[in-house]
Amino acid sequence: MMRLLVKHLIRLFPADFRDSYGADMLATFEDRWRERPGPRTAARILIDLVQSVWLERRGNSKGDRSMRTVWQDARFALRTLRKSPGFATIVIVTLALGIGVNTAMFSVANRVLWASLPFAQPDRLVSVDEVEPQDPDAVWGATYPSFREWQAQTGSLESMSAVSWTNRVLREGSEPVRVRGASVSHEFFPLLGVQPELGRVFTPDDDKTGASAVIVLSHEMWTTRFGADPAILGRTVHFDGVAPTVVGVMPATFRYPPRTEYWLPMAAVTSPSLTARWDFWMLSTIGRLKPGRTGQDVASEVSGIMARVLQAHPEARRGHIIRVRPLRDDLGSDLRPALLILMGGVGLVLLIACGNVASLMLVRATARTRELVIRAALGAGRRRLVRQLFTEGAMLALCGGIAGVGLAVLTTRWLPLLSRDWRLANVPIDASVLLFALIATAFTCLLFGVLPAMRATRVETGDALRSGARGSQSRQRAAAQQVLVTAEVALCVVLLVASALLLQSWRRVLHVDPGFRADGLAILRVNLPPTYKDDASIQGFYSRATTQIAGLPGVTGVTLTTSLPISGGDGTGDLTIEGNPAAPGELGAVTTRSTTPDYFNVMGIPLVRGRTFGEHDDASRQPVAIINQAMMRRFWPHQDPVGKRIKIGTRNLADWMTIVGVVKDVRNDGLSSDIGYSAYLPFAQGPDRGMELAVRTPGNPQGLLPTITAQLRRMEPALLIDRAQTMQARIDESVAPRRLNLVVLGLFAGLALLLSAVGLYGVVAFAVRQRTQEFGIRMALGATSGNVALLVLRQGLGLAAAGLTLGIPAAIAASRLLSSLLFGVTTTNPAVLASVALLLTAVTLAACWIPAWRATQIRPTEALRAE
Amino acid sequence: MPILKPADFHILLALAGGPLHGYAIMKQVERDTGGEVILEIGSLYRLLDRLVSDGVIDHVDSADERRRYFRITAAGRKALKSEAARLANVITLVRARKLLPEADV
Repeated sequence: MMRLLVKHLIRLFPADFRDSYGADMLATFEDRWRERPGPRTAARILIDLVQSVWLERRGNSKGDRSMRTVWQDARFALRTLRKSPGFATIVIVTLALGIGVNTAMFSVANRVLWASLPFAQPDRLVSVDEVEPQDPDAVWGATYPSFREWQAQTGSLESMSAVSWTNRVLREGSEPVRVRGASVSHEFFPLLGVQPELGRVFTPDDDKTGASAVIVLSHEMWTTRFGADPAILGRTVHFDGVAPTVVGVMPATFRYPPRTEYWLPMAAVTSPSLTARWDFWMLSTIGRLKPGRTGQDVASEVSGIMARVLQAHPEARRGHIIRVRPLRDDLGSDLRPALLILMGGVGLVLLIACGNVASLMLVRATARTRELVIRAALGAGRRRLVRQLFTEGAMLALCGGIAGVGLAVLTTRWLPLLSRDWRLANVPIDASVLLFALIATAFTCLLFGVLPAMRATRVETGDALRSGARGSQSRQRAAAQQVLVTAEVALCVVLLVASALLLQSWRRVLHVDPGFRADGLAILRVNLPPTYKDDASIQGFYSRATTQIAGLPGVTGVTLTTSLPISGGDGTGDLTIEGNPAAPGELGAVTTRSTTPDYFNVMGIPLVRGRTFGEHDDASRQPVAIINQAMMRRFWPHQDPVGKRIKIGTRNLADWMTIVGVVKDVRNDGLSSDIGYSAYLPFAQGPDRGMELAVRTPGNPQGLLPTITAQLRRMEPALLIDRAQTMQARIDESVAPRRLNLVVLGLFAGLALLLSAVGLYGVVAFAVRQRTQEFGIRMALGATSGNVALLVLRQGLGLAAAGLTLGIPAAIAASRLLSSLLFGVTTTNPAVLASVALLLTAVTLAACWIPAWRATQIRPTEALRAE
Repeated sequence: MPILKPADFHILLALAGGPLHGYAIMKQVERDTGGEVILEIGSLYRLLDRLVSDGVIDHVDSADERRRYFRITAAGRKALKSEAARLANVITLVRARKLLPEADV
């Protein structure tokens, strides 16, 4: 196939060039193709060849015969297309939409799901994690000691490394900033096969408890934060709590884990009390497979190792299983379900576009039968006629393709407007997808444009001239066209139902009660510098800060918490209940947050039982806690939990806390996620440098933020302030991925509806033209224009009904795939199905309106005379 | 001597080691430039054709009937040398003005 294409393209070179190099080029092509086959190479070779032919011909315009005919055909095709601009425009726009959105969508998928990692032999890289058996996406990772066991004993891995995120406060510029980095074990860089740009990477000695801290910078951090200082090696970097020395800088091409700015040696910067624990899941692991080994081998080996570990260390038991998957999959796993569905959707759009083009080409071929037959009668060879039609189809495909590329480029540029997800920024256009979409649509163009015409030129010349365009052939074509349009409508229904379900879910999510009053809240995240050494100084600062902010005009309440609702990321610990003999971890995990006493009041979280915290709940008193309803319902369904004692965290380290109250459930991890067990602890019994601040105002919270920020800065210039926004903005952020899915799928459904409407219009308009004489006779015999219009509308509605009948069961079947994206709706929701049917009927009526009106304008006398 | 275009320069450089056929030139250029310059067949043969008519390379007779070998001519060698000298001079200048670290070249 490819060889044939190249051979033909080589033929297009000027004769003398072709004679000297033609055979040699083909041989060279064969070598190249054998060594590196694939869509990418194919696209490169073809584009280069077409361009070279063009350049070579332009420089050498003597021309030979075959080329002259090509130009002639092209010019002639342009002329004919210009004569029917409506047809040409619709075909080109349809092609452009089909090609454009598909190319854009697949380019995104390629970037997020399939592109291989830029490391040596990326196929052999895997990630190994403990996950929950029912839900493999609930990833626990690994504890440090078990990672060391896995590393030492797994025979099917060449090497294994630990990786863990770390967010540290950097104090280098005028204001402190939080910078994202990774702490990694020393195997990390050699495992991935990367070399530093400057200096060195970590040695085993760097990666030890008590070793003096060192750091490797990313190229990004080196250039943006240190001005690409050539003397950076040996310099100290000032983070809160640790001041490592720079030993290396990685090249710009290396940024793993994605968007990391620096790397620290894990054992040196992590407290030994954490790295020693068998029940602290603090890291994830990556491994490089030995040649010939599979992820399955690793999974069974690590499971065996874990079985022995659990014998010796019962506190590590959680009933987890080991999951090994290609490292590549880590990048896009959260987007995968949505992307796969959107790709299905965009594929349907392409099918509908092809159907439309096919139907349009059929109409045109029918309308041109007579022209072709006349040309044949005048002596045009059949080959010549077919070739000319072929050129026309190719011209349309080419124009549509160029417009499609433009659209794809624009779409990928606009993506960041819809979503702030970094993976969707700067998506490169994928050449192989482009080529695929081009070939698919060009194929449709040619098949439906050329085949009918070929058959047309085969008819007996005399017959066709006599009978006009209404032979048995045109009936066949009308039938084919109706089948095409019915299929288009059915596909369109699938897309409409899917997006209606997403829309419904979106509305349900927005109506979820978050459990607190989200309006009128300004929020900020703050972090004190390590100069605040003891609890008293931290508490002193925050108590002064809340008093001062409370005094600002327009503020009715101020509160502090370690983590505000909605965005998750809370600390969690195993639950222990006094008198309950369950093993560690068996009762489940509880998220905790420390809050100031007025937290529930300011946030608007109702108290269900007992009391909230008071000023007296400080470090000098018994530790206390407030729990949520979910926890009460599960553990004390028929009793009062107030007064019961619990522990959260490692059993032999945590203190007993007395439950003093129960509050209503709050959506801590986002509106559509489940409500887990959560507990609130008094800030005064465990102050923290990093806190979140919530300020209630009856006015505009956004307008209050600069005043609060300025006030805090005045009090402590070294205070880190980030994520200053309104609570509503944070909620909007949390539902942004859902909105993105809705908008994109809705866009596809809209396109599908538009294309189907155009298809319906085409069929009905064509039928009206074909039936002019019939309508004329009917009207001459006494039919009113209303009768005629009804006839036309009925045809359109018949097609839509057929499409719906096929489409609805298909949609119900297909929407099962959607279930992971739905919230609070079933896939067979009757209201959704009914509204889709209604919308489709309305659009059908609109599409048939013009042809129906035209039918009523037929004058019987003219219609009868017409032929 | 006019400045050689980068692709021309790389083809001449590839042929400086001895006669090669089309695919070998393609691969040598790709290797020499670390994959930066990949001449697909269309461009490659257009360039070869032009270099032949410029007289800096020519065809060689070979036992392999399927393939045509190319070799550098004396004029080609001269052009290559003068271009290399020009580039070397450029690098000295760039280094002298501290635009490139020593180790990188």
